[in-house]
Amino acid sequence: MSRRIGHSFAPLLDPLFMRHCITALFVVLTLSACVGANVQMQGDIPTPMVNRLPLRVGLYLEPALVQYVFEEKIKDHGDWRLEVGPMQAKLFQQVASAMFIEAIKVDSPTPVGIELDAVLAPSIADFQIAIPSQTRSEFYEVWIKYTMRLYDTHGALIAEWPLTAYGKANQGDFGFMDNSDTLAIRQATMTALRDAGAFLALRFTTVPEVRNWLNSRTTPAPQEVPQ
Amino acid sequence: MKAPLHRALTCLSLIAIAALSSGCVTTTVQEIRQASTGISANESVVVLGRHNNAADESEDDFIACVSNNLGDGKNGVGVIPEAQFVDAMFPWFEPRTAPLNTSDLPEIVNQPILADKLHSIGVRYVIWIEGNTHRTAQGGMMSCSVSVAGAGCFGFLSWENDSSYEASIWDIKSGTSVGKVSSDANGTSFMPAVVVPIPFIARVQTGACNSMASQLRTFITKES
Repeated sequence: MSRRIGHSFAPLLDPLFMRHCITALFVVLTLSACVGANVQMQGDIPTPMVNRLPLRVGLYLEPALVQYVFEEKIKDHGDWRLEVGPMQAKLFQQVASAMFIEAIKVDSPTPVGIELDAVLAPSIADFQIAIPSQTRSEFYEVWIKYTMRLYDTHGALIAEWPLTAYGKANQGDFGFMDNSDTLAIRQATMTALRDAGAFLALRFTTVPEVRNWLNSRTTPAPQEVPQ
Repeated sequence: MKAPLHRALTCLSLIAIAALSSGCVTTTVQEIRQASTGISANESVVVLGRHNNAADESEDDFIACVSNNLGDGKNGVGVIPEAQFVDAMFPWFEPRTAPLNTSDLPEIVNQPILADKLHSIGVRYVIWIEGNTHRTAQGGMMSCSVSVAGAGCFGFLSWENDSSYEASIWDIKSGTSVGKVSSDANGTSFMPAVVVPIPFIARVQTGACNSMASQLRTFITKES
């Protein structure tokens, strides 16, 4: 049979070789169907274009936030693991630096020996993902819920409010490669992180307790200063 | 036996290349002008996909295609890549914070730091694109088999794709909407197979992209 088609094709038509090939193809397809994703978030958060508030603010990033790893086993779709912690730290540092005239990283909500106006302390309350086969849509989706707290210099709570973020990525934009799950969920997560940064930067002064605190400060109500 | 096999493969390759390069796409472009336009050499445009409504969200490659086509050729206009613009204007053009109507523009352009940024990157027009490409029908059957004697397919498949996109053009300078361009395309692809499947692909999305980019370029550069 191999002689009829040509000498160069002979090794390909060896029954043992074909059987191995078909087995390997089956194994690869089976594994790729339920492999999940293991994502280490990387990238940069742009500097927000917002007016700076004339405040010296401490930024307390609790270990649970900085080391946060999301893990979920999705039936028939493998294990999904997202290392989000370091990227969250980068996000809040970048956004706080743009929001206030000074944002200093502190190691507790009541830092000693640093002259500050307040301490901002984000913590992660919930993290959820959905993949297209779960929602019967074309989208990978990520929801993050943070609890934002603002403390005064004595450690008293000024304000506490939820910051919800959402990101999605269209599976059609990632083709059918083995790593399309990883790329898509990474983009959805990055969009959600940027969404959190956007709403923190744009809505901070609209939180009623924050607004009241800003208005009640002994110095005249702070005027936003351009960057 | 080598020569006939080579001839057959060459013939099949040529058929495949011919099929892949051909297309059966019908495209319709419409334009609504609300104000006069024009663009100077130091001004540019940015093409953005709407991400607030999943049902009408455009594919990334369509946005990139329109963007690239607008900037190509001797009549091309200056185009800023979507990601670069969105990063530069962060957080004002994120999916949930981007302006939905021109009435939202003053909040952005009246802020000195944002106005300076827009001026420094030279954006004159923001083009918002909504819409996507869907498979509207499909039929036929094909079976393929692999054995020690070889592999082959037999059958016939066909499918129809439909593209529908609309671009809204905002003039940042005047803070108004200057018009809309819509591009609709449809086409049927088919793939007969007698041993080797030969795809005849109708490049519907590409057709819609080329038509839209061409019309947008005319719309923006034609001072009327």
